[in-house]
Amino acid sequence: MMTSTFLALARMLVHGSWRQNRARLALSISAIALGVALGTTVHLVNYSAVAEFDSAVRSLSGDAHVQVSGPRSGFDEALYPELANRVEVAVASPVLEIEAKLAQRQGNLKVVGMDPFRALALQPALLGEAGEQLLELLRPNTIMLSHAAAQKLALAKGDVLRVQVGLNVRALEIIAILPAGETLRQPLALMDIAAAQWTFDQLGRLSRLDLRLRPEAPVAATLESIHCALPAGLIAVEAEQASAQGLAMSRAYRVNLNMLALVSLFTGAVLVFSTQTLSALRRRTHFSLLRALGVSSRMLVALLTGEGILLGAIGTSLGLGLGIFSAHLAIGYAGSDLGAGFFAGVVARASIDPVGLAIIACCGIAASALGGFVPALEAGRAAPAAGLRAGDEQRALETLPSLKPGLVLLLAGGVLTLLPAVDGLPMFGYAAIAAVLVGALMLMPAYVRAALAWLPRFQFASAWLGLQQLRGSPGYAGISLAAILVSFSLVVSMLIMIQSFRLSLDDWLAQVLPADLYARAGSSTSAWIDHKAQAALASAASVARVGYSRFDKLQLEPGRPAVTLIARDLIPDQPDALPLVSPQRLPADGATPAWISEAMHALYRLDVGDRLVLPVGGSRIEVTVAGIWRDYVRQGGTVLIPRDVYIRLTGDTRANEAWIWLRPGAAPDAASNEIRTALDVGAEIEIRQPGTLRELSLQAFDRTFAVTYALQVAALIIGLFGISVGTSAQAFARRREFGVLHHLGMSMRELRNTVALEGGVLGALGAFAGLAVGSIMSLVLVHVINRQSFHWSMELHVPWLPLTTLSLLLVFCAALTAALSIRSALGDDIIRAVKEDW
Amino acid sequence: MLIVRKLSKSLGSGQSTRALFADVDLDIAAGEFVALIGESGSGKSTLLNLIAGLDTPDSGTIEIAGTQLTQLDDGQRSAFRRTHLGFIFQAFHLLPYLSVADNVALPLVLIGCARSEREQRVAQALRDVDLHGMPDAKPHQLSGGEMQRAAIARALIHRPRLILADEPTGNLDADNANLALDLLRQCVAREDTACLLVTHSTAAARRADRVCALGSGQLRAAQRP
Repeated sequence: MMTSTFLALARMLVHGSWRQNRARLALSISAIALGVALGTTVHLVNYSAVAEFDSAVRSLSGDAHVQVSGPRSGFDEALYPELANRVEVAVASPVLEIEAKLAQRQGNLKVVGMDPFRALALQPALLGEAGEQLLELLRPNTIMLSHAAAQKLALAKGDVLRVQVGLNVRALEIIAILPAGETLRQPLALMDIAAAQWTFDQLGRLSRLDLRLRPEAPVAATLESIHCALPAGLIAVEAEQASAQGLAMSRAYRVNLNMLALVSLFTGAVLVFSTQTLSALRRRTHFSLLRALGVSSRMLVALLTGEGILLGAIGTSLGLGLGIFSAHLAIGYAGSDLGAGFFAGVVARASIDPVGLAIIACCGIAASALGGFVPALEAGRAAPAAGLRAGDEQRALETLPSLKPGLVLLLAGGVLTLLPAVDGLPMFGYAAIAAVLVGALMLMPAYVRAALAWLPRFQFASAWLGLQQLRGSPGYAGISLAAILVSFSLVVSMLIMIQSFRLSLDDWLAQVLPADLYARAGSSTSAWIDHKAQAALASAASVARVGYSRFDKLQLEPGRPAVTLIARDLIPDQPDALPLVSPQRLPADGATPAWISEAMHALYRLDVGDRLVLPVGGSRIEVTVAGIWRDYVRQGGTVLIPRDVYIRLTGDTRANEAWIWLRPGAAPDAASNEIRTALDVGAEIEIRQPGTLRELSLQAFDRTFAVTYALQVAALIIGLFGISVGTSAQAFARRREFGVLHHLGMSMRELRNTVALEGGVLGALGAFAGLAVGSIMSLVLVHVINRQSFHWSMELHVPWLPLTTLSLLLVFCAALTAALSIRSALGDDIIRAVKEDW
Repeated sequence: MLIVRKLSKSLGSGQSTRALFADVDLDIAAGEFVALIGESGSGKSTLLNLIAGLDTPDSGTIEIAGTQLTQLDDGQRSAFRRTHLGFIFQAFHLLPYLSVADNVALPLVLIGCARSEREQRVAQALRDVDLHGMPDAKPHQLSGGEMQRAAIARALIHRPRLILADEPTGNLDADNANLALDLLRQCVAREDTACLLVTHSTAAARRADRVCALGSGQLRAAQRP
């Protein structure tokens, strides 16, 4: 009986209200749909990238239980028989992975060198389909390409693939194209390990050992035992963890992007809250009448909350569809890392994650339900007798909520910023932003009242009336501004953060690029500048001085991303181009100095003067931290040591990069040509001026943040929906008022101007509040979230011009939105509305 | 003051067109208080809307204070209304977010009256309707009678030439209705303003100088009840 009554009431109330306010209904549903769509897109893009990366790692490690890996430069292959002969190990497969630089083409290709017969046992999915051609792989200078690699490079069986080794070019015959399968979707090449060691000048070196244990061997204990027996710089991890380790680098970026999408969803929820609150206020008399007729307050709350859930369900369904569609588009257009470069080389396809989508759907519906529940609670609590009296709506809009909860939340936000990261993620930073946002939302009516009290009383009728309307209803203004506050403060905070980062990066680039020219053999592991080339370079007539750098990746701890080792020619008491953020203190005891990046300082809790053991060249050396520097390139941490120490330890005189200072008067372009001639190379070496490198770096930066601009625009559109919903909701309720004003001599144009002015003033109030709240949020982003996510610092820079332009645009759009929203309400009906009682 | 000649108005369009009234003539002199009575649906409110320039007639002319209303466009009619007409409604229609003083001041704001003069005139108007003790009150804090007195003050504050009152006592009890009509009559007499009162109430019609009845599409002079 109760259920049927409830359903009948719900049908009457919800259906009636929705039919009467179709445009507002559409806006509410669109807002939730847009928020859910953004969340879905970002999640699916991230999920697809992770799934693809994971699948690629799994296809390479096959059925292995344990994976032993070391520095990027590899480790001695003598370890292979040692581990293969252990009683716990059933099969051991040695692997040499090379990021090979393609000759006469742009880019690199991952080349995996493996023992084909061992790999057949351990990685059957990888080589199982090679069939008889497997034996051909044992011939020197032969290679197999995955289907994706063949497509990407437009090569076929029998063609020749040219790769760069050092500064030389080697040709490899393609003996087979592996069929496109589920396990090998990424572009890569397979070689026999011995041929790979020979081709890439890595004789006796391995980069990985995949081990399958005997069934009776306990995995955890064996792993521990192998790990303890490994030489310096090598780690053993469960094969399952290998992809997690690879993904750790992009984790903070992915989580930050998800959070940004969640803010869009939150903006949508706030919009639903605004719509439902205004709708509940407008229907206050109706609810009081229902209460008088015997509907309980609990039933009323259930009705309105149910309305929110229904809105949320419709919006969420649309949003999920839109999100899945746009995820496909985004992956196709910008790649699986949305242009950030974390998954370069990974070819992703959009995958559906039912669990993730279910969580997003729940968030969308819950946000909308909450948006309906809060005003429902207020409506349920209102005394029916008061609600039936004329002017009750105005009384509710005039009432200012207590300031205490808002202020407490702002304070809580401040306290939360002082707390550390949780599992490497700035969870308290996000909570601080949420607290600041919600606190600011709660203070909006008081802010509106205080801000409007400052404005003069204009003589001009439209302005006078518009301001009086806002002054008289701070509650309405607060509700209408909620969505615009959330969205605009998000945009402001992002713009300040991005500007701060960009200008800090620009300053940093100017500091880290002191030389006249930079020569690089490439970003791969197969290209380098050897001793002979170094001698030729130094002898070039226009070259005054050359400094070299050698890069390697060191595994300091399992479960953490690899640390970059830079061995650079430098004078310890005057390290060139090192943007130090700490005072420099060279070790007094003659110990080896090392300069660590801010990420090393944060991740390994190291400070100036601390000692650090580095596994270099198979042995351990102790270095003393002489300074901490800012590194915007490597999040996993960087340690810089003098190159002479590195050469002494490893005997490796190769270099990846040369910094070239020219003699006075030498022209950089002419010097570049002279150097190429001296080295007898063409495209095998990249020679660039600092200006070009700076430009390329800033372009990469802009690509990384391109997706955030899309999210900002979406949030801003949702925010403007808020103004529109507020104005149109009020427009209906104010039809009688407009009718009276028209009777008193205001033309339709003047009425539109009045409402446009109200919208403009609301927009201006929203812009000011958004600037203030967004600035606070930007401080949290720059000094808390950014530091805890990426571990680097930056200076605060405010983009005044874009912020001013955007604020003015917001005011204009708000005025326009309000004027457009009111159009339908300003018909002939307003004259008849004067005769209506309610 | 008000000269209406051969005014006709029909509702609907095409075959469903229904003549509401035809060839209506009406004259009201300055200082005259005229009541318009008629059954529901006879077209009283429509006639009032036509005189106010809120609706356009099918034919006929309306002249107020020498101005042919039917020759003005919408903007000009609005400007004319704000200067020369005053309105009183059955449901008072005070703007809920404005104080009593601001509600009364509204017509002066619309005609661009200087602030000092506005304040002076509002204070006087509130004294005239005995609301000088509550200028800052909001409409929902007033009783029905008080709201209608504030509405009368608003209708008269800018010294209009013609007041159009549509059932001004419809929502009031007998005492408050009498009070409101007394007030209206006094103010009309004092300002030498013409007043057209649409009413169903015989008590209200009895207070008029003259009564007109609208029925069967015609306007006729009627006996005072």
